[in-house]
Amino acid sequence: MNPTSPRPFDADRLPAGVSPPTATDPDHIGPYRVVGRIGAGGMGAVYAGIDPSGACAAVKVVHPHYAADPDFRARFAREVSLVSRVRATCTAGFLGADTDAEAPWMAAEYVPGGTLRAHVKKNGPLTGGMAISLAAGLAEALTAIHAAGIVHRDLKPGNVILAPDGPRVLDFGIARATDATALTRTGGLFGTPGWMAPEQYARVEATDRSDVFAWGCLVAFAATGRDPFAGGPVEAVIHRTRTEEPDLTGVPDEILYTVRRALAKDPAVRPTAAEALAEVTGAWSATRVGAPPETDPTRVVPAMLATEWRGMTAAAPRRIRRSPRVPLLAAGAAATAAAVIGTWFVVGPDAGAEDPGTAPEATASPEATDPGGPAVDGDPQDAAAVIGEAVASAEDASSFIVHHVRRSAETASDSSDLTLWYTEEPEPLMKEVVYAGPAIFTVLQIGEGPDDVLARIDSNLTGLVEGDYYRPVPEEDVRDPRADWAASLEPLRELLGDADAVTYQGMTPTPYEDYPRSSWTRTTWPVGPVTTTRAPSPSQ
Amino acid sequence: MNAGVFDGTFDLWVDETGYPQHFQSYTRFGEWEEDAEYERIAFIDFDGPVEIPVPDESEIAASREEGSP
Repeated sequence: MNPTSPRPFDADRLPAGVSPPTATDPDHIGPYRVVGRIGAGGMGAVYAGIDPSGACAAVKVVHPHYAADPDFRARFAREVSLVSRVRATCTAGFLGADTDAEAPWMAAEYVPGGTLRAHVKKNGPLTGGMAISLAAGLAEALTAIHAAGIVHRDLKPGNVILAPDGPRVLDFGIARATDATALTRTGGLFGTPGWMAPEQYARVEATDRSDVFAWGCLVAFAATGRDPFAGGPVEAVIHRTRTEEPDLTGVPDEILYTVRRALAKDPAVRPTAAEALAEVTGAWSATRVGAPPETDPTRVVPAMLATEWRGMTAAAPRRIRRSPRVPLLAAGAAATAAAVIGTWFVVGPDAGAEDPGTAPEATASPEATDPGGPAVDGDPQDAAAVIGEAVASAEDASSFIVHHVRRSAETASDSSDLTLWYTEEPEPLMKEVVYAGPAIFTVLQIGEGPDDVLARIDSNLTGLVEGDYYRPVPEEDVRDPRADWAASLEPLRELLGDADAVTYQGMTPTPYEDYPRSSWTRTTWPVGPVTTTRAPSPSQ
Repeated sequence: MNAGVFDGTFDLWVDETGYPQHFQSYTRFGEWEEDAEYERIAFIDFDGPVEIPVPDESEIAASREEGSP
């Protein structure tokens, strides 16, 4: 970061996308005071932290579930050791770590700005010097990453931030530690179709040249605005990646040759990242009349960025309203001052059938006066009672099916997509299926204890190929369906922390979506009493 | 939510029997779907018939490697 840049955040002002910490978040992590939550997922959370000197950092903390695993700790420590050696202009700088802490953590430079994908989609492709300096910056980052002994494996537009002073590559190293289990399970397959190199689909271990292929894809995407191997079904993207040449129309002539070689199907034909960097910076330097020759390409990059990198801004952090009584409600990224409210609905048949602003007052149905009936019927505006009852009902259920999706825009490791099944007949059985791109992981717990645990891995790479159940060895890190079920109820429990701030919005159908990978069917939804009420928002 | 502006952070639907039905929260809205950050929990069914097939012992592989597709 430019030392004269304003701080990306402080205790009272957070960037868009960073929410105030909730009551369950730590106050401090190592030397960092936690002022915001950047993201969270199955492997842990990333916090906005401020050290005693006032410096800002992104602090990644490992979930206690993983921290308790000695193997995971060892992997995490090894990856931190590797990442700490990476020094580059265009990576998020390593700031510190404690891999022996009860909750292991690692701090890195907080990089303000949007992702490459978001920028291109909103503003179109980068042109001229911007495209060339992006190519150089990413090559410089990869050169340093590879020199540290790391293969990124998942370089893609969502892992590149366009900061005001240059591009930054994120999510290397640590992602490998957190996903090592998945790596092992899938025989080394890890990455995102459309950006992965052809050899990765052949289950050949990714190398630095695989990252160079992804570099070529990124530069092509940035300069053309097109996904290099288009979109559509994963199978089609994979086929095009392995057999077709991308359309590079729009890539600046100065770097076209290098990009084309980077996209060679044969890894041996591709340049190394250092060679790509030298070619790109050399092409740029050749256009600089009177500039002294610089033999070290990595030293050209800062000068190139200072000259060519223009027009990138990060939105100013917004002043936030802190309310420790509103654990889950105080996020949001609206440009306007956020009113901290949440909503809940009774499931009903007619979305938008009535304008809530003109909706009639609630008309009590006969059931609503039944003191023995559900709270949602008796007094739907009593959020504490309704939500409390919802949690208790779910906890006491003798069977359930739940689909839980978390999406993080920045890192795949913070996103998850899973379904849980539970029944007590003929015996307690709990099953979890995690959809992880090219692999599907299933865990089956048998008995209440559980008495037995089975796991299964299916390949979803080129159509579903089912594996067989096996008993995981103790050191294998399989999901715990019961823990994930508890996690699915946790957001509702947190709502109870400030039920007064919840606004009843009346009856609407659920925004139920046909999640394509789910296997359930249900054609009708429970319907509440045909009345619509709307309570005034406490913030109005 | 006010005047159609997404400044709130969660929606929860509860069915008429008191069970949660659908929850969704947002930590970031993007102009594009893939730039958004959110959490969605579809409580598909409670206390209904749920079938979870359990493999016969003869169908269980001896190791992860043997069970891999």
